[in-house]
Amino acid sequence: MQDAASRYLSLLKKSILNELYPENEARVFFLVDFLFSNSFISKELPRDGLIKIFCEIERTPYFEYIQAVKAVGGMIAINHRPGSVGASIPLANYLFQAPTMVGRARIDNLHACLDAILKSNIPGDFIETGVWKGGVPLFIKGFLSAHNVDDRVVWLADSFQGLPKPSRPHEVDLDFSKTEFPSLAISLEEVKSLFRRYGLLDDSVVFLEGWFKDTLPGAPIQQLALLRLDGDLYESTMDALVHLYAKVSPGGFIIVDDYYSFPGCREAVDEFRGKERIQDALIEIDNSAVFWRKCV
Amino acid sequence: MIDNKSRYLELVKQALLNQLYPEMEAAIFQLASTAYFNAPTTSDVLIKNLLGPARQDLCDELMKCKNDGGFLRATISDASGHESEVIPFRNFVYNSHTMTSRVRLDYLQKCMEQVIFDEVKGDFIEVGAWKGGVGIFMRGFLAVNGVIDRHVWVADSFDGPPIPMSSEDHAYDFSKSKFPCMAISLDAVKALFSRYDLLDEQVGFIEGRFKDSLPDAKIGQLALLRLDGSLYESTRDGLQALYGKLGVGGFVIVDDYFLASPCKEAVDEFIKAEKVNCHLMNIDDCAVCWRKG
Repeated sequence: MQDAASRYLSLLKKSILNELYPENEARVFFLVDFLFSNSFISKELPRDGLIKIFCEIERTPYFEYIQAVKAVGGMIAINHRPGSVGASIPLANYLFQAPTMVGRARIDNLHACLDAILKSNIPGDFIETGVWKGGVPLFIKGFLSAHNVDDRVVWLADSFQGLPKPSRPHEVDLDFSKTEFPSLAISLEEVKSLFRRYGLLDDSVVFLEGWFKDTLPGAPIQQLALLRLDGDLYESTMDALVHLYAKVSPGGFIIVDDYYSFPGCREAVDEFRGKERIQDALIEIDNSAVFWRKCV
Repeated sequence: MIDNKSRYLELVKQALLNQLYPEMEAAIFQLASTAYFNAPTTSDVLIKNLLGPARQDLCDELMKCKNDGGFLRATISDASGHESEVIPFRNFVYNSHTMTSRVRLDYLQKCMEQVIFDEVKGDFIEVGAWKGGVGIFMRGFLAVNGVIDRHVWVADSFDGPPIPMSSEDHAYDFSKSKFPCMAISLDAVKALFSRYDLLDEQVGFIEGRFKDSLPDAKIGQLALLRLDGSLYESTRDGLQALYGKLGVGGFVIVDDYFLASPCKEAVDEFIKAEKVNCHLMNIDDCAVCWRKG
């Protein structure tokens, strides 16, 4: 039989991944398609038809599509219909509806790392660099609460105003900054409010607000058991590694969310591992993320 | 300090009410009103609205609805400025897993705790289940408390409320031709129990119109009878078939007593006809409860 802690954590994961309300994500997807894209459905749909599809959403391709994306993480590709007026911001902005984009495999990997840390008494705090809505650190905090751990801090490092403009020439196509992607720019207040709703905001959740190169060097972090990098770009990834890797305890974990999905991120990781002569095996989590465990 | 049992039940309640992430329902409301009323706009404008202060206002209103049991309404005004609700738009607003309120879920939890504490034997039943949210909460409660000798029963047509037959219900047609959002199939309800990891042999489903399905249902003693059928007919048939199975010390909860007058009428009539000696307690401005003496 499952105990209360496992039930709680299992439901918490589902909630953060929004596996509980995929129908509502599909509804947003459907309405956005109907209004602005018409990739799957014509612009001419009577009101009754609108209601019918909305109510029976779980039997539509929208729902299947959402379920498929949720299984592996990532985002939905949807474009404006040709010739749209007032269509400078990508439609994808509508579709970031869950508290995290990491997907099932990555949240389970995180959970396994957390279990291993407690089991082997690996000392130190937890940090995510690049938190977006805060879904991942929210799970870490929930995990610590469920295990009655109150002597470790969860750090959230973020600009809380979206991604920076890419600084490297070959990353110019990867502009996820606020002008293009306002829905990736989540304010500190919004992140706090999510923690509050889950009853998980307390003094051991600490926010480092600003660009990593400014906030991380002087951050009062002593030791880390887990370093989770989710900054997407070369610069964000490198800054976090340079300033935080040395603080990771032997037996601690380094997780890189975007190793396979952002070339600059991979470049930073490979370069850093080469320079520091890190031999620990890089293990694939899914088609985007990898992790390694610092040798003891 | 909070224990994990309380953490779990709190999370189940918030999840069923969709209180954890109202932003998505707010987005649906904005998009659906734009689509349904064919409001002229561009995607850039809508995205900015969607991320701006307007959404915060909608979220605040949604959170209040979820606490009190209301829902967002779309209104139009006529030439003289008189506002009226667009009833078919309700199909776009029931996007959580239960329509009941936070206040009523908390009250239900107290009733369940009480029957366990007092060792009132018997199962729990929800008569009129919609998506099954309340049944899921009941099953989650039993699971996290390690109770294995009580069942949860979920009774519904699984095809929406009936077209009203009795004169009392005439003004209350919530059948699926008008409200497709009300008709949730048995498969969909089971799938929702599964999503919450709570579908097992301790949950039983009773399918059909209550007057046909309830009298012969293989239910033993009940400790909790929750009526959420809204109509006169559904409420009367639920009480007539099941009240006799409720153990002494068990609870009756009527979700729509003050909301739908036919429901109140059925309850008042039953209490009078059966000379039920009870003290009705108001749960909120919608639901009532009494304990069988």
